[in-house]
Amino acid sequence: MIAKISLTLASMAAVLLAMPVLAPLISGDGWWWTGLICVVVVALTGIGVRAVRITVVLVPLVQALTAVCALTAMFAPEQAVAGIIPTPSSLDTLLSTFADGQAEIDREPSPISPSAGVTLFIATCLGLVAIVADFLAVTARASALVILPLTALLIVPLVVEDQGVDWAAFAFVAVGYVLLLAVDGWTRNAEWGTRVGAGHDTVSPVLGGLRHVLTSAGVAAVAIALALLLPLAVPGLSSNSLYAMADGSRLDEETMTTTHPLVSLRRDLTSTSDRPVLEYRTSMPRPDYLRMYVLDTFDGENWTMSSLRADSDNLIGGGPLPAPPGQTDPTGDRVMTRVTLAEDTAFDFLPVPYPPSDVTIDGEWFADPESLMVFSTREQEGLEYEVDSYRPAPDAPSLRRDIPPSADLDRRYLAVPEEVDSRVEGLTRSIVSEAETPYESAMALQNWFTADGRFDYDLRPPPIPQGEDPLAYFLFDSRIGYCEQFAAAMTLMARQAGIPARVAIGYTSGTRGGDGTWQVSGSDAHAWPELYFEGQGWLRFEPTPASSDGQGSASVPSYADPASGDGAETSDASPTPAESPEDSAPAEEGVSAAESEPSEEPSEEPSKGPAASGSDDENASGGLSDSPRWWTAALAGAAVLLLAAVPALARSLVRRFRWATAAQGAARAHAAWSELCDDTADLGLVWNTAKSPRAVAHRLGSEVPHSAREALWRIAMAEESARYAPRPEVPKSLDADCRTVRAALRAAQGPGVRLRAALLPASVLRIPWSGERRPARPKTA
Amino acid sequence: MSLDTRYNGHGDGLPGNPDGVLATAARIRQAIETVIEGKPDVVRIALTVLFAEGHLLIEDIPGVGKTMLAKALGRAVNCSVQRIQFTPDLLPADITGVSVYHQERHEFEFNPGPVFANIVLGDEINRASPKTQSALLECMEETQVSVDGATHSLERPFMVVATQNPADMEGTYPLPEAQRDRFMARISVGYPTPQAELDMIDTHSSRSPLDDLRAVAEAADVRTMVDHVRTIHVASGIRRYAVDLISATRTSSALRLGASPRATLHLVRAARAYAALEGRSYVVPDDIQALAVPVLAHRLLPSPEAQMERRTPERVVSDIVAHLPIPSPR
Repeated sequence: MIAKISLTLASMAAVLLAMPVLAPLISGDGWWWTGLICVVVVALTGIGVRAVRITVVLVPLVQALTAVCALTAMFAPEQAVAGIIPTPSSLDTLLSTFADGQAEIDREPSPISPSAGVTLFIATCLGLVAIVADFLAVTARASALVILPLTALLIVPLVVEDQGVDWAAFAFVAVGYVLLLAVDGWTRNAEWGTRVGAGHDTVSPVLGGLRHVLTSAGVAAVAIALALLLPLAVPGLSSNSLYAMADGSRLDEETMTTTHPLVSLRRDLTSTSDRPVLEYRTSMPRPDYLRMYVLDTFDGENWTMSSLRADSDNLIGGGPLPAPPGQTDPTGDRVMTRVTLAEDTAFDFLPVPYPPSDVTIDGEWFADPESLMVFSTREQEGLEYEVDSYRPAPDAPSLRRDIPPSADLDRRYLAVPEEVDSRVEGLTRSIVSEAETPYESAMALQNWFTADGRFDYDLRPPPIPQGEDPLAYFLFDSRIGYCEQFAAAMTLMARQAGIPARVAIGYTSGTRGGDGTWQVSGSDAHAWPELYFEGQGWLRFEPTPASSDGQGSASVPSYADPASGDGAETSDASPTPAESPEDSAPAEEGVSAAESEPSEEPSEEPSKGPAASGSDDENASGGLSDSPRWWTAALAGAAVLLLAAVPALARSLVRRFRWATAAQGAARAHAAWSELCDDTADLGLVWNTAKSPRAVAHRLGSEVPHSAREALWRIAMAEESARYAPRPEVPKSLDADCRTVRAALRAAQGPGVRLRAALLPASVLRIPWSGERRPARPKTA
Repeated sequence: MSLDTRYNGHGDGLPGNPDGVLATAARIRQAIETVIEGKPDVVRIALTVLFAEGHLLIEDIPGVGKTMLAKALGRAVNCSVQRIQFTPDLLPADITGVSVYHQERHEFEFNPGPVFANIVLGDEINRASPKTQSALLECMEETQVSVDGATHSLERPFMVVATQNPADMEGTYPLPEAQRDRFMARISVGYPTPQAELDMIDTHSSRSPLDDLRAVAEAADVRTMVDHVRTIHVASGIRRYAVDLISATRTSSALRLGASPRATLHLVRAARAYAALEGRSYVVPDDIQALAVPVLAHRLLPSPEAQMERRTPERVVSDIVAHLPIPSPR
C-alpha cells in the first residue's frame, strides 16, 4: 500500500513538474492553480480508491469523475448541487466554457490570456494526463511509460512555439520523470529485496535500497542526457533549441535548419491581436511591405519554400547583397530602414523591404541570392538592424513591354501542378483574355480580385466541404477568405497566365506612430503575390481587399494601382492610410468558435508539408566538383569500412595478446578460459557468474557436437585446476582446443549471429574492470 | 547441479594409498545402494558426512527408509552400531550411561550408554524431551561423555545419524535451531521412483536386504579416509566463495537467521569429503554448490515474509547459489 501511495504521489509530482512547459504559451498565471488542483484531486482519488480495493480498471473512471467534480466546483459552482455535484446544466456550462477555450486557443497566437475557457481546457488536459500517468505508473506498474503522457505535454510548446521548449522547463520534466523512476526503483526494492550480492561487498538493506533507487534513477538520467546530447553530435539533427519543429535539410556545405515558417505564421495571418512585433524608422513617407518568406513551390495543396543554402558565399556582411534578379537597372529611391524587434519576438527570417541592397546586423545571417530572403540558422531575439533597399518604381514603358522571362529564371516559378481544378485555368483565361502584355494580365487579375462585391474578406472563412478542392472552392463557391487565399490564388493564376509568380509573406507597413516610427503588430501579418517582369524583377501586387473591410494596413503599390493612372513614378499616390488595426478584424461576436478547425484551412495552408522540395539543389552540386567528390566518397567509404573493422580488429588483437602473454601452466589455462568466455559472449551466449567452469562446460556441451565436447571439457578442467588445485595440470593443446570449440560454437549459430560476432564482438565492448559478465539468464539453458 | 563423476580432475598423487581409500569408499557406497535403491545423491551425502566427521540428520515422513539408510551405513562398515529409539520418557542417562555403585569393589563403576559406538542411530530424535536431546547433542559436539566428573572419550569414527519426522507431525518436540546447527547436513530420502518401488516389492517382500548386507570396510578404513579428507586442498577462491555464500544467507531478506560460523566450517569440511569421494585432491565450486542446501538449509530460519510466500530455506539457499558470483581467481 505504501508503495502504491508513493508511486501515485510520484506520478503526480511528475505531472506537476511538467506544467512549466506550458507556461510560455499562456500569458497570465491564473491557470496554474486550477491545473494543480485537478492533478492533485486525481492523485488523491487514486490513493483513496486503491485503499478500498476496488477493481483497478475502475480507478481511472472514478478519478475522471472526481476531476469533473473538481472542475465543476471551480467553473460552474452555481448550477451544481452543493457547488460540487455536477448537474446537467452545470455540465452544459462546463462544455460550452470548454468549447470557448478550445476555440480561443485555436484562434489566438501564443501567449494567450488565461480566460475561463482556456483555464478549463488546460485543467482538463492536465487532469487527463494525470489520470493516464497514474494508470501507467500505479495500476500497470510501468512507470517508464509515464514518459508518454509527459511527452504529450512537451509536444504542445514544440508545435506551437518555434523556439521549442525552455531548457529549464525541460529540466523540470526530466527531474520529475527521474524522480518517478527512482520511487519505482525504491518500491520494487522494498517488494523484491535487494539483489543477492557477494559477501565481501555486503551492504545494509537501506544502502541496498538506495543503490537500487540510484540505479533506476541513474539509468533514466543517463538516457535523458544521451537523448539530448546525441542529436547534437549527428549532423542534420542538431537544432538551435530543444527540438524545435525542425526541417533539417541536408545541404551542400552546411546544414541549414529552418523552422517551418507557416506553423506559427498562419496563426499570425489570422491574428487580430495588436501585440507589437516590431517598430521601424524609415526615410520614406509611405514605406513598403516588410517581407520575410517567399513560398515558391505549390504541390496542389500547400505552398512551400524551397530549401535554402546557408553557406559562406551568401553570408551577410562585408558587401552589398546580390543584385535583385531580373532587374536590369535598379531604379527608384534608396530607402533606409532601421528595424527594432519587440521584446518577446524572435525571428530567423528578417522582415525587410524588397529588394534589400544591404543589411547591417550582428550575428550570422545569410541572404538567399534568388529570393533575397535574409535568414539565420536559428531564431534570435532582440534584434536591431538596418536595411538599405530600393523602392521599386518601374517605369511605365518598360512595364508595358512584352518580354518573355529570361531563361535564367527557374521554371518552378511557372509550375502549375496537375491537381489544380481545370475550372481555374478557364477562369484565368477569361480574365486575361483582353490583356496584351504580362503587366496587363497581372493588373487584370488583381482587379478581378479587388472588384467591389466579388470577394468578402473574413479571417474565419467558412469550412470547406469534404472532398472539395480548397482553391476552387474559394474561387467559385465561397469567395470568402483572407490574405492567404487571395495571395495564393492570384499567384497560381498568374502562373497560368504565363507570369512567373510566388507568394510572399511578411508584414504590411503597419501604422505610423506619433514620433515618426512605424509600429507593426501581429494583425499586420500579411501574404501577397510577387510577380516577375523581365527587366523589372519581382514586383508585389495586392489582391487582398484593403481598408476596414479587409486587411487594414494593406496598400496597393503605385505601379499596380489602377487609380493612379499610368501608375509609374507617382509612387506615393496610392497606399491606403492604415486605420487602427483593431478595425481590421471582423466582428468577433456571434461567430461560433468551433468553426475554425485546422482541417478547414484553405488550400494555401502549408503547415502540413515540410518545406523541403530541394528541387534546385542539383544546380549547385553538378559540374566542376565531380572528380574531387568521387575521391571524397571513396575515402569516406574506406574510412567507414575501416571503422567497421575496428571491433573485429580489437577482438583479434586481444586474442593474440592473451596467448602471447600467457607463458605456462595456469596462465595458459586462464587465457584459454578467457578466450572461451569472450567467444561465447561474442555469439550472445551468456551465463551468470554463479556458474563454475564445469557447469559452464556442461551447458555449452549441449551446443556443440561430440568432437568439440572433449576440447571444451579440457579447457574447463584446465581452468578449474588452475584456479583451485595446489599444483595445476594444464594440457598442452589448449590453443588448438580453443579453436575447435570456437568453430563448433559458431557453426551451431545462425548466420546473423555469426556475422554479428565477427563484426561487433560483444566481448570487446565489455567493460574490462567490471569483473563480471552480464548477469543475464543463459539464453539457451 | 551436475553430480556427474565422469569428468573428474586428474588431481595429483594422493598421500598414502589413495586408490585403496577410494576403492573402499566406492565399496561402501555400492553396499548401501543395494539397500537404498535409486537414491545415489542421498547415499553420497551420507558418506560425505561420514568422512567429514560430521553428523547426519535425516528428516522425512515415516516409512521412506530413514532408518534403513542409517542401518545400512552401520552394517556396511564393520564397526559398532548402536540404535537409540527416542521416546518422550527417555532420560539423558539412557544415552550417555550411568555410574553405578559396585558392591564388591566398593566403588562407582561407569556403565557406558549406547552412545559409545562408532555409529549411533538416533531414531525419531524429536520425540524425546529437549533435555534428553541435548544430552546426545553434547556428545556429538565434544566427542566425549562427562558423567560424574569423569570424562570418557568416544571412539573414532563417531557419527550420529538421527532421524526425525517433519516438525509438524504429532508428538514431536522440534529440535531447537541451536541443536540443528550441530548436524553437518540434513537430507530427506523422499519417495522412491515408481520403478524402484516395484523392485522393492519384489525384493523386500520376502526378506530384508539388510540381512544380505555384509561389512565391506573396517573402522580403520574409515579413519584412513577421514585422514585423507583432511589433506584435500581448499584454494583461497573456494574459501572466499564459502564465506560469500554464508554471508549471503545472513544478509538475505528472506531469512531471519543466517548460517553460523560453525556452518562455514562444516561446509568446507563437507566439501573436502565430497571432493575426496570424487577422487579429486582439491575442492571446486561445484562441491560447495552441491552441498549448500544439505549443509545450510536446516540451520536457517525463514523471515515471516518468506514464510508467507512459502519460500522454504532450501529454495532461498538454492536461489543464492544460482546467483552468487563465484569469486574470480585473479
